[in-house]
Amino acid sequence: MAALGLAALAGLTLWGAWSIPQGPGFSAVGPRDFPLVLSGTLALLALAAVVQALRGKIPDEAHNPEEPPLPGARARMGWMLAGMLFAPLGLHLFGFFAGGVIGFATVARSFGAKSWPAITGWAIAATLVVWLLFDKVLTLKLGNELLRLPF
Amino acid sequence: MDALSHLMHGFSNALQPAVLMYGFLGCLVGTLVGVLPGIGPALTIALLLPLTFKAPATAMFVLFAGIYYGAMYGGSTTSILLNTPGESASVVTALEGNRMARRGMAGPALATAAIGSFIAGTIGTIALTFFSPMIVESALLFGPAEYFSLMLLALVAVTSVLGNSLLRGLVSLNLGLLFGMVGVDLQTGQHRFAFGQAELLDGLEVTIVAVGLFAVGEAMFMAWKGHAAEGKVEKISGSLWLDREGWRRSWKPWLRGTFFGFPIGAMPAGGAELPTLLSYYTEKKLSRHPEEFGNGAIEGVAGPEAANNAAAAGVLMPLLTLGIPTSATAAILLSAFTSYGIAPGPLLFEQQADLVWTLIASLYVGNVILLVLNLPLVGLWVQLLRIPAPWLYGGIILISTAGVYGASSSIFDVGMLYAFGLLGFVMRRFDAPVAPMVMGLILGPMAEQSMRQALTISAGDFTTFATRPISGTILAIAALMLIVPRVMRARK
Repeated sequence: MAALGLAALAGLTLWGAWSIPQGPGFSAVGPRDFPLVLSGTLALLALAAVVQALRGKIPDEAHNPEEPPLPGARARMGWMLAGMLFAPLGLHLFGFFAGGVIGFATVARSFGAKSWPAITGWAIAATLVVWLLFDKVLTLKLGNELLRLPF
Repeated sequence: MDALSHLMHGFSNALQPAVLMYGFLGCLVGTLVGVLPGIGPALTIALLLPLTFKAPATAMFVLFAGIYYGAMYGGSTTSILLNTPGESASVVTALEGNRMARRGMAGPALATAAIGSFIAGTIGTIALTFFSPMIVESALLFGPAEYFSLMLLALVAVTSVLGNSLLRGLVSLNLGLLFGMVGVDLQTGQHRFAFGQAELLDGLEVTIVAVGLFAVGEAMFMAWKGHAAEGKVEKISGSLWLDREGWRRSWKPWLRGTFFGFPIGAMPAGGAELPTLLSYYTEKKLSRHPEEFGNGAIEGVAGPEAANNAAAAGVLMPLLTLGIPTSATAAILLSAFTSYGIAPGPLLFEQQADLVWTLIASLYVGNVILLVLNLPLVGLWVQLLRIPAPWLYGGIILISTAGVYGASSSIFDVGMLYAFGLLGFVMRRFDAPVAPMVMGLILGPMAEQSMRQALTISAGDFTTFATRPISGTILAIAALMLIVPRVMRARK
């Protein structure tokens, strides 16, 4: 699976490299050559990876005999991915506070935290601390207001 | 002698209260991230990179140096008490150190690690002080062709040392190099791999890639495996100092470890894994108690820990004198230099003498701070290991997101952060090393630029790389490094 994905990526980079205009040809190595060589190499490597994968030579941690993932990996990953989708959304619509709380809560849940009141409490506290530290002390730009309304 | 007077001047800067504060803060933060499993110095410095817009360069690099050294000290604490090495270089420490802790000798193990780190770090820094000016002198003769060959050597080294599989190492490196090509080409202004996205024209931000791969990727992998909540923290048992026997058995391994660590770390090929392993096997061979190895031999902690820290000092040498990073952390430090508009390399010692020597002086100071900070506060560090996994990783993701978003206020960047996190997860799952990708991302554009400059100078003649004596020699070494290990393995 991963090897096939890699092969697809190699195809994409080859296409991307091909579409770089070479520009006026007064230099021996133009802007396209490096990307072209690299994506060509990547394609070869991807091919080798597909072959290795078919021979079962690429280890997959999912089948690690010593330490297989605990049951429920899908649910945990689901929480994680949901967080990665909704945290930026919350960040975009309602500002840093919403995004931060969503991100923290989903990650905590995916690490096996069960009690929602505890999760929410910790998420709010952690987000506040980080916001104070980054925006106020280190003066990065997280947005001046904690909560922003989209309208 | 010149180095000595520069160094004295550096000390007079480094001991200014404000600079000292940054050094202290760096050591504190460094130990903290070293102790916490899952975050290391590369990630921490990457997260702090946005701050380079605000603080003066000297303060920032003193802070980074503290983090860099501090993480080495902190990492050993985790390896000994929790048996989860934070980084590949402390695998050996975990082996013997954790056994010692289980036998009720955690105190001496921690003490020999800390004192050994101090001695090795100090000797390594002394070596850095006196060898760097020599390297700078010869490096001033380097042209773009030599630099290209050097970077090629560094890249070859990365792939041959790291990871269990050459193929997966190469894939990771190759992808990193390609990521480095994204954006506007510096020489011609052509767009490359931007796919019509304005956000991609500036290239991929090192911070985003590194934080995504290291922090987000690691968090996803740990969540997927579900083992994060396990792991037993050993009690701190025994005296936190060495008895006469401990000193007698430790001092030689410390020195031998330093002797392995610094030169190998300083080579464009080195890294810290090789010297720690070499030191471990040497101690095992020389020990009068070989039967103790595997059950907690103090030599097996003292030697590798010293090697680890000496290598850390060694890694700074090619970075400062040549501008060539040989580890992921060094690569991030390099991009910190560039974000100040400072190009590390031979000219750094002339143009930024104040900065360099203050940095080197603060390495000495940092070592002392760390020795004082580490042992007495070890109880506090252990408490950190008891933070429940959900809050710890939730916090890591939160800080990563805040760091990236705060630097650019761009949702696109946050999306990229998570995308690279996903990539990091996939790479961990299929046992592909992450570090070569970060190295490729940073070294790739540098290598391309120097290659094209060299070819412009030679009017398009590719033999320039082989016929210029220094460049040719470096290329030959790189070729040997690719071939020799394989031949040796084939013979076995």
